[in-house]
Amino acid sequence: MSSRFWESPKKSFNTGLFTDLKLFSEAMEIAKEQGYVTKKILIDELPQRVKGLLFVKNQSSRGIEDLIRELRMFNWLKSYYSHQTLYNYSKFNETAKFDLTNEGSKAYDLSKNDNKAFQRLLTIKMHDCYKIPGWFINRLWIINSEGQGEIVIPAPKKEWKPKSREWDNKTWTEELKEQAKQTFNAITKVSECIFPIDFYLWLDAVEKAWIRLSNAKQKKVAKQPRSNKNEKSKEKVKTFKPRRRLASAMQEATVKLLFSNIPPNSIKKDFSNNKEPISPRIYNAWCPRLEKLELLFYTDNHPLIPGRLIFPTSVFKKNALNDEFEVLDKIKNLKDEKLCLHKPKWINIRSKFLSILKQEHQRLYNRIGSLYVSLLDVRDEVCRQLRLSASNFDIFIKIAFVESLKQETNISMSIETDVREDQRGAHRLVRRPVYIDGIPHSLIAITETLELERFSK
Amino acid sequence: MNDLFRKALVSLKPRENKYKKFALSQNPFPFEPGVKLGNPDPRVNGTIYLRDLRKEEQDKFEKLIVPKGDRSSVNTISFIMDWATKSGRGIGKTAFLHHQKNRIMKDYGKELSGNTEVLFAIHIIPSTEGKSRKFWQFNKLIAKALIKQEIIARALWRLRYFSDVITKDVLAEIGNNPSETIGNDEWLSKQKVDVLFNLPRAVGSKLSELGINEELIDKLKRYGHSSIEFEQKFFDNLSDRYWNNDEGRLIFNDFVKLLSGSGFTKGILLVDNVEEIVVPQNTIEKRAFTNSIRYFFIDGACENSTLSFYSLLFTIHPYVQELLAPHWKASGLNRFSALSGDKADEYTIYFKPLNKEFAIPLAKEYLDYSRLSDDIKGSFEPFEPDSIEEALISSGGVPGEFLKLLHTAIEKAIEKNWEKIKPENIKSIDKSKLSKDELPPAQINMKS
Repeated sequence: MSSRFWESPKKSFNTGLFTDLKLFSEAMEIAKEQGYVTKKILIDELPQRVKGLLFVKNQSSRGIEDLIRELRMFNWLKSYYSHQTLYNYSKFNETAKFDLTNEGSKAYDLSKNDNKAFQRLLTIKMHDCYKIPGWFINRLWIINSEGQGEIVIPAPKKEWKPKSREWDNKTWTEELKEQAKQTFNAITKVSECIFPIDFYLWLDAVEKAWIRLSNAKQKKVAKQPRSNKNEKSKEKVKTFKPRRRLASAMQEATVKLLFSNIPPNSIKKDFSNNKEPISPRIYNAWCPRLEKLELLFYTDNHPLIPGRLIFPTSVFKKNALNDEFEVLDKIKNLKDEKLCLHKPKWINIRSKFLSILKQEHQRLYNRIGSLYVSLLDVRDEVCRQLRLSASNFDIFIKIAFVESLKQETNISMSIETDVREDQRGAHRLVRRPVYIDGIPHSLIAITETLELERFSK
Repeated sequence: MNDLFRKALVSLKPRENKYKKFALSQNPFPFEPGVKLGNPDPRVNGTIYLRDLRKEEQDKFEKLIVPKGDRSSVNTISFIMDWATKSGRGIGKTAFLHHQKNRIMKDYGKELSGNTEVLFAIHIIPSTEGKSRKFWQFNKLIAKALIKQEIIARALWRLRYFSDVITKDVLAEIGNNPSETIGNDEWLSKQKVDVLFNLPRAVGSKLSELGINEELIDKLKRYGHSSIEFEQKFFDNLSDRYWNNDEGRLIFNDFVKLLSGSGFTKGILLVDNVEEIVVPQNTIEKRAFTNSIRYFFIDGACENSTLSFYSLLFTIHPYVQELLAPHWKASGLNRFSALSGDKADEYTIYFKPLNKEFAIPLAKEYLDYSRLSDDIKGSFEPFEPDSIEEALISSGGVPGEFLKLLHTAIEKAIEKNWEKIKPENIKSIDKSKLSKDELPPAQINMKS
């Protein structure tokens, strides 16, 4: 039965800011092995990990607190000594012990035996707690239904590289306006539907966000160079980077306009309360989380688009074909439609996948002139055109690669782990690699083989 | 027979000309969009050149650089810059420089200067990998170009000519290939000129009069007339240590004395790819480089600054301008040659993208060069005229890319058996065009 509003979330909207969802199962594993966990144990024991191609030695104290809080909200961890109320999670000391609940034990077993099923359980849990997963996908489809939910969160064009400004120099200048205009034009030139906001409305919101950010409390950083390693003294930052601030202002303005309680071009609220469902800060965590849950795909590196291109890889439907979609019955929208993850079978998508893979390789090859091109760039466009999740792409590219080795396709493919110089920028290193057999790969070369007739049979 | 001594088989059958169906002897357009100086193929060595294409730029080149009686009215340092960074590659700067060099060297600036000057021009291409970033490395590059492009040899031939050792009858026999006559000791010996004693002595005493270093005089009078010998016996023996310690004496004192003493009135140094010099430089090197430019070309205590003998034309991209401008200003060079600011126009030749007016004649120039018969010259066959325009749009007006696209179109036409090359064919070839302005639609409809 359909309802008027989205059900208000049972728990706070203040979700954790970490984006590596494996932390949930790893924390539960430690709790299972040791009988309990504390914040300190998790800091010490959680394994080192990679984010994109960057090495992350350990989790921040704030990240661990978020992790424990969320595990308690999911009812997977409880206080070791007494059954405290689930809502009393905001304050706990460093040595407070937590152990697995029965539900947590089951979730942990599922994560060990069937990771996909665990991921779906996590999706449902998160939706249950925050409502964001289902609501966000639904909102994407509302914003650009014609373009199947494809939208852009703008950022300044890559060519704009202004010098740092003095902290006090916060003026909203003509140059900033011009950059906003160029960004807007570049996006709408590519497609008008992916950014359905009036320019002046958006510009006004960006200016307001810029002013808000400019008046924020000055951050403190360690003095450079620090004479004594143990010295904790910090001083206020003296300059800021206009590019980064304008990017933040554009993001803040766009998130507020597109993801407020009332959808764009509508007067009806999604949630009955007056709270905004998602803040710009929380949005930063949700995008990667929903990408890992296979609900959407996003890229910050599309060559035509200044900003982040987001599109859903899931859709709300009444009915869905089993060989195209995986249905999550428990996540429904206001029309009582169920959330369906696009999970096509290889046999159904093979020819389109190979054709777009080849075409996108060719396009990048034409642009940069070398046969080996960024596999990540190819992946982004293949996923966009076929509405595939990144992990689906990982599976399909491996099948395609094996088929090419067996000469079952008309293309010859080489996939490499080398990282080219232009892929080494810090922002590029955090990009999700393509995993084949658990190993991150980054370059691809494709050539057509001549035995076309043989394969067309 | 051991395969080590095997020779490649040469097919006796003449190769079938696959371009014959279009009345062409070969693909008329270059395979690679860039000029390869010294390559025998006119399609790539800059020989096929449409003068009118760069008339505006050429006029400015003459105004800024070529003296017409009054040497003080031309710039010592000028720039050639493309209009936009993205179109910088393949826009035709190298072909332009090559052509201007040939125009000057054809009659040593007689026509261009109205017979008031004896000029020479050299085309300097910096080494890659940052091997030209220090000023002494740049000096070495100039010296090499002066020797390899036979400017030093020509100065020696002039000294020989005016030495009074060679009789008028022999001088009358020199002809249009002086390297084989006055530059060739064997030929001179046959004409009974004493190349072992009298001629070197006369040249040597003239060089002494000019105040050139004694050691250099010895090498010049013995080997200077042959660029190959002079390079081997003199230039190749100079170590990097020598160049580092030379402090510009060879290029800016001795060579200037030699060249001006032999009757040249000005030397034009056309420096290509300046980014290969500037981009690898660190801040200190940039500053030292601009300081040295000022000293040796403008107002330092050297023969070149005194005579304003060499003129420099730097080929730059906007990005290089950005890198160099603060150091250029700090060295006080902006007063003499403005790299940036309002006055930059007076020192800069701007290179604009191709337009339709010139793109079509340029394509025709290439097509005509490879036509099998004169009857069909001037025709666009196998292109439809609109296809040329489509190629121009697709290539963003960059001549290098434009020609490369036409090359591909000819190859595709043969492969796919097209009778005519239509605009849609050009579009289909230029697959990269899609990436320039369109987002391909999704191939899946999840709602259906």
